[in-house]
Formats: sequence, structure tokens, C-alpha cells
Amino acid sequence: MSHIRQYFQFLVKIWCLSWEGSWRFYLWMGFLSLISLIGVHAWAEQLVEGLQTTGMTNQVSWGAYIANFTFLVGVAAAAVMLVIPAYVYKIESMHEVVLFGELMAIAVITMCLLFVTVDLGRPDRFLHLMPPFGRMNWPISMLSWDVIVLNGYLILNLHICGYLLYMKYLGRTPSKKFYIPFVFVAIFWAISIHTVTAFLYVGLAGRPFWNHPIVAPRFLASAFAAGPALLILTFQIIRRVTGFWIGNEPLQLLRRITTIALLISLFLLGCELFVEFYSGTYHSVSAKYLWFGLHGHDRLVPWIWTALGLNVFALCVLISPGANRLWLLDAACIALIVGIWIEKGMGLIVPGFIPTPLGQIVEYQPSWNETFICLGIWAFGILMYSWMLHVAIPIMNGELKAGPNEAIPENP
Amino acid sequence: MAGIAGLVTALKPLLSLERGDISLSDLLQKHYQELSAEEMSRILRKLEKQSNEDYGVASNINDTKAREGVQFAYALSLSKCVGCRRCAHACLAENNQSRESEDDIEMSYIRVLELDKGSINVEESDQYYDGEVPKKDKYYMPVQCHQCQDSPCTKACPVEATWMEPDGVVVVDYNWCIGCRYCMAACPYDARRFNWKKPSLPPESVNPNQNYLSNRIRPQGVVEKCTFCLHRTREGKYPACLEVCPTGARVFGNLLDPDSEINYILKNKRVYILKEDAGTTPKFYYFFD
Amino acid sequence: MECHKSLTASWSTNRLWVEHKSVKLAHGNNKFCLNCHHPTNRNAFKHDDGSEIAESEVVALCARCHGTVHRDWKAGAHGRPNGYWDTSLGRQQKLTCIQCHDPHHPKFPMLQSLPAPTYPKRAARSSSENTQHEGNPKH
Repeated sequence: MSHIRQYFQFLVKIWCLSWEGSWRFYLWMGFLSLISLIGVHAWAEQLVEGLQTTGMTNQVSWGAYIANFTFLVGVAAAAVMLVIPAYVYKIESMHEVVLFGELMAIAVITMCLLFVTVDLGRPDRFLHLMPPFGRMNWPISMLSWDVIVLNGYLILNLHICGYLLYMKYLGRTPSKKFYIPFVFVAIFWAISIHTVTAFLYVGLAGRPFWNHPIVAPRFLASAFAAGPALLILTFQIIRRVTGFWIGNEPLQLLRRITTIALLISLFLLGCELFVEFYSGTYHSVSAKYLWFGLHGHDRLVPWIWTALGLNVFALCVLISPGANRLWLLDAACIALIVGIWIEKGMGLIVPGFIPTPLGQIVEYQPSWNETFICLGIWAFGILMYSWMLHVAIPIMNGELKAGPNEAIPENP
Repeated sequence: MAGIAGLVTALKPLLSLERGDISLSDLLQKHYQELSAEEMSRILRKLEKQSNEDYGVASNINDTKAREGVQFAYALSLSKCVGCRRCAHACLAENNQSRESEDDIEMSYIRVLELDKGSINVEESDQYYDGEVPKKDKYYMPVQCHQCQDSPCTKACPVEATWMEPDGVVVVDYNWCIGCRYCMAACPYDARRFNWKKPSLPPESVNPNQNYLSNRIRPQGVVEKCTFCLHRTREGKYPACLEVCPTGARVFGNLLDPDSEINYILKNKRVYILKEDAGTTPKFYYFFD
Repeated sequence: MECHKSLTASWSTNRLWVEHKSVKLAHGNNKFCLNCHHPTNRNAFKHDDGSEIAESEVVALCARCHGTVHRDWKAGAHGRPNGYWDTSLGRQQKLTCIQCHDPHHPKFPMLQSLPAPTYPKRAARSSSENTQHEGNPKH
């Protein structure tokens, strides 16, 4: 019983801590809540009016929601780029920060699940996905795999983070058997979430633009570039805003990972472009639409060239010694994240539908309502991550711990 | 406090949800294949009542089951079709889709492609042609669901809301579909449509002869598709698109009957399968004569 | 009908500018009235051997030349059967040749196509594209 009481006290303390903060903290959280609420409002609107409130059509039946989802699955998977150095190569400096990556994975997976939910025409029927209430088309449907791996990854990370933080709070050494096996499962799981998400598209023979074996490796490479880049930026924010100091060492290691991943990503992109344009079969129409426009339809052309430009810029900076200067490194990271976000969203999801399998060209642009929902989910994800950092950092710093009379002995 | 007030305000649009749009009994309804006969008849009566309230027409919604020894297939003569779109419009009327504005024809299960003679590449096709047909140096190819034997759409569905019936028709349980639209992405024939809004059609446009798995008026937010007019064909009749064709380009029948019209076509004509390379084994054939 | 009781029908079509002015025969190289019409019984058609084909049996007349089409028609692959595909459940109506084809002008006239789909209203358009143009954006 005392264990449960102790855990309950822990939760109460976290709850109280959540509301303690400077006016800056309140302003930031208030701002994010406001954007989230605007998103909730837009979603309520969409629930009532149907998905006609979006820019999607029968021809382009997936849009901004699935694009953001795909990008974010990559970011979530990239937490593994902290876990591997920390747990496999046992690099001490990474050990301190690995938790931030795992917490980010939790927030990002939540965003992924939200993006999928808002994409549903009938979110009220979500139980249909869950046996025994529903009928999951597993193992045939790749989407059913995705539901399993995403939720599994969320649970794994919740367990790892929750357990480590709670042990730190109690002032005990975490028992390896309670988290190390999960950490290693999570490494494979992280790769699987992104692979499965790629297979979602790759498995569709009717869409030659996606039906490409290189899509999955390209997914992973771009994710392992964008994810660590996001972590580089986040770590700098953490060390500036909170009391938790993160040295430059993890940043430089992440920079190396980002650089290599980006190199691989660009190489794979080159391979893909070669296949599409050298052979020049009719199967490359979507690529033609994306890179050069088709029959006067060219909405995505400026975007994809911008993305390529940003990625090349980021690569040039990252491989040069200039990236030792933090502001330049940050600029490269921002360029990289934006570049990959465009590449995955507008560059991969939307052109898969253009032209349709019957050759009809219908273009896509998210509607305002759709955009608000996306912004709302992003704001909610950032809100969630901010809150997790807000309560996790005092625990990691030892500021929040069990009182001497609360703690029960390790071996009662 | 402010947070809760904000949340309530944000959710305000939900108040305008009509009664019946989302109801508890709908949420608890089982998958089509798990429903007993009594449950089904209760659901059908409820749907009839709901449809009467919403659209002002007393419809008759049935659940005619597939018959033994029947496999439906369709063939279409590319030599005969003139591209008049009678089929696409008849489809709309038969299957109770929106008839509110002129672009509702978009929801028709049939898309008629105009192709240049000398090429069979649908990527070069045009769906927007108008005026008198057939045009010089053009030929026409209506495309609808091919009822593939190895259907990528049913593979894609995460909740088994779409499956192939014993008579070879791929159907959707509109009360089970979650609206993720993965099946639409999977279809190589652009044969599936999504209910982006609640269908709106005046009482005089409602076809009261309805079936649970085919042409009953669909709820908002689910995917629908051609069922070879299952509500007609399971009762022995021809599909609506065939009956309206002024050129007799369309041939429909039972694959398992060796003397059927469709088997005659398969045996005696040059048959072409669209996108055969997608490997989906369609039961919709194009032929030349 | 009465005319032909007194006048013998001619094999050639040179009377057409006097009689049957509305008939414009454009049936390929089948250029003579009496190829199909019975020379003495105006209510009947003519068989290969000169015997009569009743008006209701017109299919047999067309089958004289259009054998493959007749074969298709018999199999139900031509003539657009209507009603019931399953004849055990209801009646099937099959159209006969001249219900669709004008025997004097068998080529179908042009048909007005029903309204085309429009470019979806909610979909985005490229700036370079003429937004007034609802038709095919490819041409």
C-alpha cells in the first residue's frame, strides 16, 4: 500500500509543480494553450461539417495531416540517435541528455496519434481499431501495423522515462532489469515505426511514386537528420532557459550524426531522381509534377527546390568547420528541419496523388481550418514537451525528491 | 478556470451536431459479418427511420445476401463506347449521392476518360471533355471499380470495413468504416469516393430501393464505391450503368455460368485488362469488337 | 404499299429522287433497296434465296451480312439486354437490330455528352493556370 501512496504523492507533487513558474513560463504555456484551443475549435468545426472543411479531395485524399504525421514519426524515431550512443556505446555525456530525447519521443508520438485522429472521417469509431471491440486487419493492413508500433513506442518510452524519473525522485539507483531490456527493444522499435510508416506508402502498387524500395531507407535517413537537428536546437534552448546545463559535447556528436544522415539522405534522393528521370517511364509523372510541373500545374515546384536548397545549404554548413560556431550550426539545423519537413510532406505525400491513377491532375493546398488544426497539434505537442521538461528537470537536478520520511527503504 | 472556459468555447461547434449523427447505438454496432439476422433487421428499420427523418422519403433498405454459384464480372467494349457519360450520371441517381450542385457528379463511381486513338495510356487521358461525342480521333474508356480478386483496398483497410463478398463484389460497411482513406490511396483505379460532407439530395432524387451494403444514403465521413449495383444485381437485374448505355458497350454477367454473356466475351473477344501490371486480378474487362 | 402493286420495284436506286425522298441510303456498299426489301411483299424482307422474312424477324435479315454481330447478339453480348440477367428471376428484353440502328443509315449520329465533372472547387490551382478555364487543364 505504501508504494501506491508514495507514487500518488509523486503525482501530486508533479501536479503542484506544474503550476509553479515565472510569468514567462505562464506566458509561454498560455500562448501554446491558446493555439491548441484554436486547433480544438477548428477540429470541432471539422467534426460537424465533415472533411469538406479541408483542402483534400477524392483525388488528393491525404494532405497536411498525413504529411505532418509522416514527418513526426521520423522525429520520434530519431530519439534512438541519442539512445544508441548512450546505451550501446556508453558515452557518458549522452547519458545525461538521453532522457530529453525520450521525452521528446513521447510528445511527438502523441502528436502523430493526434494527426492520424484528425485525419479520420469517423474518429467516433476509433474503437473499431481495438480488439476485442473492433476488428483489426492485422497482419494484412500496414496501417494496423502502424497503429500497433506507434502505440507500442509510446508505451515503451512512457515506461522508460517514467521509471527513470521516479527512481531519481526516490533517490534510488534504477534497477537495470526494469529498464535496460526496454531500452534495447525501443531501439529496434524506433526503427520499425519509421519503416512501417514508409511501408504504408511503399506497399501501394497503384502509386508508382511510392512503390519504390528506396522510400523506406530514405525515410530513415532523412528522419535521422531532422530528428537530431531538432534535438540540437532543443538542447540549446533547455540549457539557456532552464537550470539544466548541457555541454557542447552532445551537440557535436549530434551534429556528426546529422551530417552523416543528411549525406545518406541526399545520396538516396539522387538515386531516386536518377531512376525517375533517366529511364523516364510514365511512372515518373508524379516526380515530374513535383520537380518541374506537369501540364502547367506547378504548385509544388518552388517548394521542393527550396527544400533541396535548404538541405544542400545545411550539408555545406555541417561539413565545414564553420558549424563549430553555434549560430551557424543552428541556422543549418533550422534549414535542415524545414527542408525535410517540406520534402516529406509536400515532397512525398501530396505528389503521390498527382496525377491520379487515371491521369487526372488535381492539386492540393491545405485550407485555413486544416492549417489551424495542424498548428493546434504542433502547439499541443510543444506544450506537452515544455510541461514534461518543466517537471522532469527539477527531478533530474534533484530539486524535486521524496522527503526523508516519505522514502521507504529500498529493500523493505 | 480560464482554461476550462476556453475549452468549452472551442468545442462549441459540436452543439450543432444533429441528433442521430453520432449515437451510442451506432458506436456499439457490430461489424456487418457479426450481425445476427434479428440485429440486422433492427438496424435496417432504424436506418429507414433515420433516412425518412433526414431526407423525407420512405425507403426500403434490404440486406440481400450473395447467392451461391454467382461471381459477377463486367466487360466494356472500347469499340462501342462513345463517351456520352449517361452511365456516370445514371450511377449518381441510382446510388443516392448528393445532387446539390453541378460538381456532385464528381462523386459518381464512373469516370469516363477520353483518350487519343493510338494510345492506351490513361495518364494522357482527359475527363473534362464536353459537347458532342464521339470526337474525331478519340476513344473513350469509362473506369469504375474493377472488383479486383486481389484487391489492394481490402488489404489496406485497418479495420476490415471493406471486403469481398462471396459473389465477388467488394463492399464497404458504412457503419464500420473509420474514414482513414487508406483504401483510396491503395486503389489503382481511382474507384473509391469519400463522403467529405453529409449527402444532400432532394426527396424526389432519392432512390428508395436501397441496400445496406450498396446504395443506402451514406453517412458523412466514410468511403463508398461501386458495388456493381448489388441491390439490383443480387435480385437478378442488370446494373444501372448498363441499362442506360445507348451503345450497348456494357456487358454484365455471372462468371460461373459458362453460357453467360460475360463468358462469351472472355472466350471470343480480344480482352484488355487496365493496369494488369498492378497485379490485382480485376473482374472488369475491356474488349474490342 | 399500294403503289408497288401496280409498279414493279426497280433494282437500282434511281427512283429515289421521285419516291422515298426522305430515305438517304448510307449503308456502306449495300446500295440497293431490294437487297433487303422483298420485291413483291413490301411488308417483308428478303432472304438470300428470295424467300420472305417477316418484319418481326428482321434479325434474320441483318444476319445475312453481319454474321459475327448476329453471333454476339445471340450470345447476349450485342443488343444490350435489359431487365434481368438472371432469366429465372425475371424477363430479359433484348433489343433487335433496327431498334438501335437505322437500317438506311446505320452509323450512329453524334450524341450530346452529359455534363462533365468540374475541377474540384476545394482543390488548389496553379497560378499559371487560367482559372476561368473549367475544361481540361492539359490542353
